[in-house]
Amino acid sequence: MLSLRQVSVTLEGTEVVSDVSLDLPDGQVLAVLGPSGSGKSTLLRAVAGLEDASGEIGWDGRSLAGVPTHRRGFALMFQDGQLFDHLTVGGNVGYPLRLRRVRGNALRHRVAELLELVGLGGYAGRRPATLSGGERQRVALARALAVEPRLLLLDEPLSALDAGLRERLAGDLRRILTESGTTALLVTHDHDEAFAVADRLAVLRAGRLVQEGTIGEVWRAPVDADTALFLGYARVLTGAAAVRLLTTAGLPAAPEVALRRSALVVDPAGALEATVVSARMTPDQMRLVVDLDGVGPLDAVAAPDVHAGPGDRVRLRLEVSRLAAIDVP
Amino acid sequence: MTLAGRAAARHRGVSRPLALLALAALPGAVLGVFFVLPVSGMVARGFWTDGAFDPGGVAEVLGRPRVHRVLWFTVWSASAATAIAVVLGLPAAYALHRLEFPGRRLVRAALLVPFVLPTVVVGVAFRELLGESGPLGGLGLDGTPWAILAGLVFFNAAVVIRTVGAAWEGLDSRPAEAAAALGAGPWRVFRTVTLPTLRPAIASAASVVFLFCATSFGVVLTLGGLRYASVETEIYLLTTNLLDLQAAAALSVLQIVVVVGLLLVSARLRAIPDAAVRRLPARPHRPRRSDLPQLAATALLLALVAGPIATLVAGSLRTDDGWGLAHYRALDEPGGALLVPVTDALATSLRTAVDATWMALLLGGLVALVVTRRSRGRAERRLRGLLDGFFMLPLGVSAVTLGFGFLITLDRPPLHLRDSALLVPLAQALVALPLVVRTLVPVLGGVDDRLRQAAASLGAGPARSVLTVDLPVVWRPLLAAGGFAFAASLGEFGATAFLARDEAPTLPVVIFRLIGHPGAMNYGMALAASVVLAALTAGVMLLVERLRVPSVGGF
Repeated sequence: MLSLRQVSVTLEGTEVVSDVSLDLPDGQVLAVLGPSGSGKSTLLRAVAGLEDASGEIGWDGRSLAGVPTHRRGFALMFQDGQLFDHLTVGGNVGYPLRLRRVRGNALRHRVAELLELVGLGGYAGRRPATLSGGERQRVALARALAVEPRLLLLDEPLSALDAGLRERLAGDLRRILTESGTTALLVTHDHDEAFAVADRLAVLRAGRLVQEGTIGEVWRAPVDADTALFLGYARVLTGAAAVRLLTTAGLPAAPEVALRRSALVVDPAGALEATVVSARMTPDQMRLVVDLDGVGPLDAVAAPDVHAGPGDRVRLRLEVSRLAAIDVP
Repeated sequence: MTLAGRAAARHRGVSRPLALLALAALPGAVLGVFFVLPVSGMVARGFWTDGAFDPGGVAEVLGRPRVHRVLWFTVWSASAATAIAVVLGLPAAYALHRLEFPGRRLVRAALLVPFVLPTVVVGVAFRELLGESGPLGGLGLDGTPWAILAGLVFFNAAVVIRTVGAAWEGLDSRPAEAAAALGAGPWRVFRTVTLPTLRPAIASAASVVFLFCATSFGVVLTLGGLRYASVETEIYLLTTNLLDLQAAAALSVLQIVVVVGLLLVSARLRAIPDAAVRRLPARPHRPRRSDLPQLAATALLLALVAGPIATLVAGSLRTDDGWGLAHYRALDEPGGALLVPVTDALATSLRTAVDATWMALLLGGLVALVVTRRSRGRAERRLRGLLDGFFMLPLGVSAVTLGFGFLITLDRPPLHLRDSALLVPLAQALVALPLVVRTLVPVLGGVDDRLRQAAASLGAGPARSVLTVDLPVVWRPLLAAGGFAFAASLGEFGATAFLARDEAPTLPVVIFRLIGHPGAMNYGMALAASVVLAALTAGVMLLVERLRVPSVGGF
């Protein structure tokens, strides 16, 4: 189990990571989610032993202070893979194995097995330069898994890829990590990536840990407005507007409420009334901006067969599972 | 620069290779008249005896036992010196480019000074140090091959430090971190990740150092005496003392063949950084306990450089009655062994160096521009590669061959240039040309070509694109290259010795004359003048170092 206690990292006089405490039980995947510049990559590098940190970073109750990177047994996978261009794909994947004195047939078999696991069977003889971005990341993953790491550290592993590929690879990554029972720490700025891969979520902002919990916990109850917006909530309402919506939903009053884009659905039997401001078709649904009476502009969705144009009056239903009350003032 | 741009603009629409040749015309013509012509004139002397083509004589020369001995000594000493320079230079490159400690830039500049010092000064300094009365006289190294090796390493360690150091400094730190995270210890990381990445830079540096060592003139002449001769000193001996031009020409041909081969090898190995790849170079870090061996190697090199120079300074201050500045005061007095006071020679040197610098910058700037433009098609790339190699030639061809060739080919109309005041600066500019080109090419080559394409798509013509894209990146390196060329020109001795007029000698020439004259005062003045020259070049190199251009002095 990885445990961080009051970890801070200072780079060139600025405190980039402040006072972070975290636990990561064996076999789980934790995503550290934060905007760029929030210090998440620095935190990861500190865990890997590439940056000096104050506080305590421990594994199974033993402090890692003074243990150099190569003795920690953590594998690190970079955003752009960092394959060794002077080695073949097989040479890259076999690199950590050769360090551990695996030779000959055993080495070849293990490399083939790992490449098979990431869906690149038969690629061992290729040069990294001839691979696509997605393939490079798969090779990097196979190389990191070859270590059989106590902990796998992933630094925005999918960010350099285009959207479609990212989604597919996120699913693969989740499957591979679960199948191999690998404990992993993933940092990302993309909440979709975090949701697709991780069991637990830690939100980092300006170097500080603002919220931590299982995916569901964090998702259902973001700790403040900024966190909600970062997690993909479309709008946050405050004051009277928040109270009014919460009451409609049959929930206890709270100072703020965060709404997803699909929290309001056009429904003739709905309890709320609004005027359509704009409407846009997407392949799955109609996306609207509506002016909710007494509240103001909000996002809403409608089934693709509903016809609603600017100026039309519509009735709306509130999806309770798509909004989150925020208790902190 | 704008000149180049305008030339390029004029030739838009004409086929690109033609535009390329137009840009290369000026440097090509200069190199043709002042380099190819003299060298081929010199070589021709060897092959034609009494108007008849006679290659048999050349073959006969190459069969002589003495020539075999000379060849063996040249290859042996150059290989050994190259190996030592690489072994000492690698840890120093790490210490000076990856570690952060006070005085780092000063040490870097100091280690580059020997490279631009005149060979005579270095010869004198080493004799002061190793001679019978010198501080290290007890070692009995004077007149041995070890003294020559020390001299060669003294000159060339900087090339290794600069070339490898620049590559090391720009090295992406992440592959090494990835290897460490996969369980590789520091030594493993170095052997399996860092070294393979640095290999091209190391091989390139080694081939250039070998080239410099194999064609070194002053060091072998002053430290080797008559017992040890390299191909270069043998050419000098055959030309000036024995007047055996055929033998000299035969050796020159052999040397040129080897030099061209080595230049081809080093050009192959030299990789211009791909600007499209974003790198994350590591920040230099404070020295740790594990960095001690590298720091020790740096200190050893520094001692190797500082030792001879310190004895030089001490020697210049030692007078008949103790210590004093008498030798320095004598520098501006006329008479004695010289036609003009040393201070006049210093003024001549500075004037010549200014002329040589603008010429080298103009020619080198054009060459760098031609060589680094992105090629369309194989033929164009080949042509650029060929031009690049062609302008590197002055680096390796014997200064003695060049100087003597000047004398025999440029002394009759239409090229009666022997008395032209521009001849000496031109010869020095040619010697400095490869240094300028090698400083500018990595910088210009490192400009992402897509920036120029973006400028063009926004409506900038070729001249405008040079102004807005290349110039902002290149002005500092241009300044640094200018300083480097200036320092190299101040110290140039080989070619200048042949060409300088008696009434207007440069400082290195005066030093050489003073050494040749008997008398303690003359010798003391030679030492004092050497100190002045060394201080001047060191000062210029320190300014160059402040510009923080990593490619200065690299190959």
